Amino acid sequence: MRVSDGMLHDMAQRGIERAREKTASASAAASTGLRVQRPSDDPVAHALARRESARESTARSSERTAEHGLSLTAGAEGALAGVTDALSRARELGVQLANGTFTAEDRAAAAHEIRELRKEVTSFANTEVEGVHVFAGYRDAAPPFDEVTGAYSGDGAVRRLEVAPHLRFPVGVSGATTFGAGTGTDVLATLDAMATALETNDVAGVRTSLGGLDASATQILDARAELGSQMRAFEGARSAAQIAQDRGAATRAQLVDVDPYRAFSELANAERALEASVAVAARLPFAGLLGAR
Amino acid sequence: MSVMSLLNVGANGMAAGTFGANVASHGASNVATEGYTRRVATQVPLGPAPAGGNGAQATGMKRSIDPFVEKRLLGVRTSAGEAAARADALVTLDDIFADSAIGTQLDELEAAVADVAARPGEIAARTVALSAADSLARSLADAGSRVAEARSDANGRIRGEVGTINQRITQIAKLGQEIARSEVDGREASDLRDRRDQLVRDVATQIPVTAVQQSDGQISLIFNGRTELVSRDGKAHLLTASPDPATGDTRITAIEAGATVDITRYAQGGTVGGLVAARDGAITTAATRLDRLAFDIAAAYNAAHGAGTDLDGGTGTPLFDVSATAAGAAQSLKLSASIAGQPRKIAAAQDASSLPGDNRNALALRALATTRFASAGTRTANEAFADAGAEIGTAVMTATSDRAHTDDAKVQVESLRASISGVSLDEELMNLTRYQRAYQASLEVVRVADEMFGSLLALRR
Repeated sequence: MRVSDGMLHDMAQRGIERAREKTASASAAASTGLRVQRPSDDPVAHALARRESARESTARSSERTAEHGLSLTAGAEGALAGVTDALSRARELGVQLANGTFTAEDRAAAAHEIRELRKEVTSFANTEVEGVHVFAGYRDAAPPFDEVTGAYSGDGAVRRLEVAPHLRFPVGVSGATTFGAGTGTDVLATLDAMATALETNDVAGVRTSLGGLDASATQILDARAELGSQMRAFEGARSAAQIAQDRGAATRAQLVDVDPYRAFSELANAERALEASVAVAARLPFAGLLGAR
Repeated sequence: MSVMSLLNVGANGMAAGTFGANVASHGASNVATEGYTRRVATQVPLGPAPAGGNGAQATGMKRSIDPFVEKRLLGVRTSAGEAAARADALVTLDDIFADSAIGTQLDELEAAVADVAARPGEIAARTVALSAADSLARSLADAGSRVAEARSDANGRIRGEVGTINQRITQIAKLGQEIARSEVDGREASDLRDRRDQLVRDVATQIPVTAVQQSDGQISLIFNGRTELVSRDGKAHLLTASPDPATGDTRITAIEAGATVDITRYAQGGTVGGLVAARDGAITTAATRLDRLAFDIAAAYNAAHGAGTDLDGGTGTPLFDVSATAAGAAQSLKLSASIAGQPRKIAAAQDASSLPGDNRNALALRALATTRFASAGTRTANEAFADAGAEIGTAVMTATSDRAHTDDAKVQVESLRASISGVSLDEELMNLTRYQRAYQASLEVVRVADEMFGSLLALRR
C-alpha cells in the first residue's frame, strides 16, 4: 500500500489521542475507586446500585427509628421498675401496719411515707424520654397525670413506629390501662386510699387496700412484660436493619466499585501505551529523501 | 531536418521538465493541505518525426482519485458526523442521572419523614423534613431545566448547521460554474475541484448527500436521494431552519417543485441527523421521565399530606406546588408556598384531638418511599428514577460506542483515500529530481545545438 505523509501523521496523532483517552479513564477509575461513575458507564449496574442505595437508606433510617423505639421502651420500663419497687414498699408497710400491735401514731407516720411513695409513682407515670411523656399516648407534650388529683389527661393511645418497610411495631404501653385510669385498678387511687386508711387508723381499710396493691403490682408487671417483648422486637429490627445496610453496601460495591489491582494495572498499561505512541510521534519528522539532501 | 529543429527539441524538453518540476513542487508544498489531491504531470513525445522527433510536450496533469472511494468517504463521514453529534448532545444528560442529586435526595426525604414519624412533636425533625422536600423539588426542577437547556442547545445547533450547509452549497455551486468556465477555456481547474470536493465532504459530515458528476464539470448535490441542494444547472437551493410554532423545535424545510417540504425526518445522518436524533430521542425521553416523576411525587405526597392534620390541628396543605399537567412538571416543581418555612404545618397526625404525638399520617407519608406510585403505579419514585437513568445511560453508551465505531470506519476510508490521493514527499522529491534531470538534459541539447550552429557559422568565414 502506498503511504502518504498525511497518513503517517494522522496515525501518530490518533495513537496519542486514544492513548490519552485510555489513560484519563484509567486514572479516573483508579483515583475514585469507582468503575461506574455515570449511568453510561454501565446502565444496568448504575440503576441497580441506585436501588441498592435506596434500600440502604431505608434500612439506615429504620435503624435510627428502632433505636428511638428502644430508648422509649427502655425509659418506660425503667419507670415501671421504679413503680414496682414503690408498690412493694407500700405493700410491706401495709402488711406491717395491718397488725393490731401498732398505734395510731405509727400508722400516721407510715401514711406520710405512703404519700411520698404516691408522689414518686406519679412522677414515674409522668416520665419523659427524649421529650416524650411515654405514658401519655398521643397527647405526649404535657405530663399526663395530675400530681394532686391523679387525673389522667393523656389519651391512652399506643404509638407505632415503622422499623422496616410497612412493618410497624407498637412503642410503649397505654398509660390508662397500666395505671388504671378509667379501666382496671387505679394505682394512684389505691395508694391514696391506703394513706387515708392509715391516717384514719382504719385497719380494715388498710387490709382492703392491700388487695388493690396486689392488683396494681400485677398490672404493672404485665405492662413491663409487654415492654420487655417490645424491646426485644426493636433490638431484632435494629440488627436486621444493620444487616440490610451491610448487605446493601456490599452489593453496591460489587456493582460499581473497581478492583484496585485491576485498576492500577490498567492504568500502568495505558501509561505505557501513551509513552510508546508519543515516542513514535516524536520520531515522525524522519527525514526521508528530504534529509538526504 | 535542420539544426533549428534540434533547438526546438531542447526548448520543448525544457518546458516539459519545468512543468513536471512545477507539478512536483506544488504537490510537495501542499502536503498538509486538507483535500489536496495528488497530481501527476503527463507528457507525450512530439512527432511526427521526419527529423527523428521533436522532443517531449507536457500535456497537463492527472488527478489521482478513485470515485468509488470518494463516494464511500461521503457515507462514512455522514455516519461519523451523526454519531459524534449525538454523543456530544447527550453527554450532559448522563450527569443529570449520575448518582449525586435526585436519588440521594429521595433517600434523604424518606429519612427525614421517618424522623418526623418517630418524633412527631419535634420542630427540629419537621424543619429537616421541609428542607429535604425543598432540596428534592429544587433538584428535580434543576434537572428539568438542564434537560430543557440540552433541547434548546440542540435546536440552536441545528440552526447553526443549516446556516453552514447553506454557505457551503452556495460555494459549491459557485465553484461548479467557475470549473465549467475554466475547462471550456481549456484552463486547468484541479485546485478548484479540490476545493469543491472538500466542501462536498464537509456537507456530507452534516447531512447525507450524494454528488453526481455532470458532463460539463459541474456536480449536482442531492440530499438523501430526493432533494437537490445544488441542481444540474449549477444553482444552489438553500434550506430553511425555523422553529415549530407548537413545540419550538427547529424544523428544516426545503423547496421541492415549488412547494415547501419539511425534510427534518429525512436527515438521518450527519451532525444534523445526530442532533435531531438526540433531541427527538433521549432528550425527549429524559424530559418525559423527569416530568412524570415530578408530577407523580407531587400528586402522591400532596394527597397523603392533605389527609393529615398539622401540629395546630389544621388540615394538611399541599406539600409541593406543581404544574396542572405532567408536561413541564419537573421545572415547575417547588416546595409549596403554603408550607415553606412553617414546620408546624407538616401534617404528621391523623386526628386533631391527639396532638402532638400522633404520627399516623407521618407513617403514611413515610410509606410513600416504598410505595409504587410512580410510572403508572409500577415503581417507587426511586426505582422510576433509577430506571430512567438506565434508559438514558444506555442511549449515551450507545452513542459513545457508535462514535468510536463510525470514527474507525471513517479513518479506514480516509486512509484508503490518502493512499490514493495523498501526497508522499519522497515521491514528489523523486519526481522533482526526475524532471530536473530531464531539464538538464534538454539544456545540454540546446548547448549542443548552439555548438553546431557555431561550427556552421565558422564554416562561412
